[in-house]
Amino acid sequence: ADALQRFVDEVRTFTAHFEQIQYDEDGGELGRRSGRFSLARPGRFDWHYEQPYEQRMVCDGERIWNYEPDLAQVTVRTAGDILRDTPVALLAEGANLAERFEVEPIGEGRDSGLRLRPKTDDADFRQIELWLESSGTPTRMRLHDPLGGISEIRFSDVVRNPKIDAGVFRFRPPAGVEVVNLDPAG
Amino acid sequence: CAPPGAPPRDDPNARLQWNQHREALARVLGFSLQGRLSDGFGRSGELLWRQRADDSFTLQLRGPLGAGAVAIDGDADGVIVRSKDGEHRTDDPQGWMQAALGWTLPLADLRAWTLGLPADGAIDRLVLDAEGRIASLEQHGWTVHYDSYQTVGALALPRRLEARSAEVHLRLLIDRWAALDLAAAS
Repeated sequence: ADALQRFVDEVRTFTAHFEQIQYDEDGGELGRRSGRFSLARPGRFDWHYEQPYEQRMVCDGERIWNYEPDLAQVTVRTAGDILRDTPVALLAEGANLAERFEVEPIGEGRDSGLRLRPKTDDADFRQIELWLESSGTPTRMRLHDPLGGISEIRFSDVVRNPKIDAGVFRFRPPAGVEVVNLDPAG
Repeated sequence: CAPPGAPPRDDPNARLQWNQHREALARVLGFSLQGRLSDGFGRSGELLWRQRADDSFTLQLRGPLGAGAVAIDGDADGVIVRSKDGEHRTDDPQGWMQAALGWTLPLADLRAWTLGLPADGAIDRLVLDAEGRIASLEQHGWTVHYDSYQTVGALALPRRLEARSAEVHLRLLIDRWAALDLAAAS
């Protein structure tokens, strides 16, 4: 798992194009979405779907915003431990994986990767597979949800340690869009 | 408050088209749709709904990247709810929804409204659009507005609808209708 260690140690910021393919429990393809992903450690990311429709998840380190233009809605919640289980957070944090996951190598040679099984039994994903290049650059992820569905994410035109304008990780809800705060009241 | 351009309710032409439209929809025994659902309390996700001719169905809601996946599978004997917390059978799906989601709605109503039909039972108000499809409907304490329709084969099926009750503001956007199972024309 030294590729993962290199990713954790050497990659401070990261941008990539991603394609996400959703499979149902029988392996049938449900649909594809694509967009751009930006990451800055620790804990800041912008997961921006562009096709076939726009949706954006932005974490500025403290709060996670989820903006859905077609539903004219934005949700916001404090990142805190919720960040723990989201797969994107896995890339954003990366450090104490062994604490939260059983990690085992899979595949070999160029196609070697890691299988991560959450140690808690109420995690959103039964298992996450992560493939990285030896340099520590993530190339592919597969997320297995409890319904048997699989989300496969493929990264391309990856840039390691680019300079990213901090504004990328800030989000201001557009006028007229309803903002729902998900933090438990009080 | 009928939307602008809607014919008066007793416009014979719209009424005629509504009768034909309703007959065509009544032949839909099964369908499969993919879309997005938001409940106004911040819960939203991608919806996969497969309704089969024998009245069995599966409704799957997945948050971003498949997180928070929940499924309601129904058959003759009742309903099974599946999520990261496991699987359990219930013969009171509405009770489960109220406990898990904080709101509830008879699935039979949701099914009819999603197809663009009134549910069984009393209708307080029905307003048609210029092409004889439902523009808005008041029933069972809910007001359902149809913002747009899409053509699927020979049928006009909803693309975007909103259903409001005293507590809930549901928004459903249907990206894709597929696998329509139609009864033979009588």
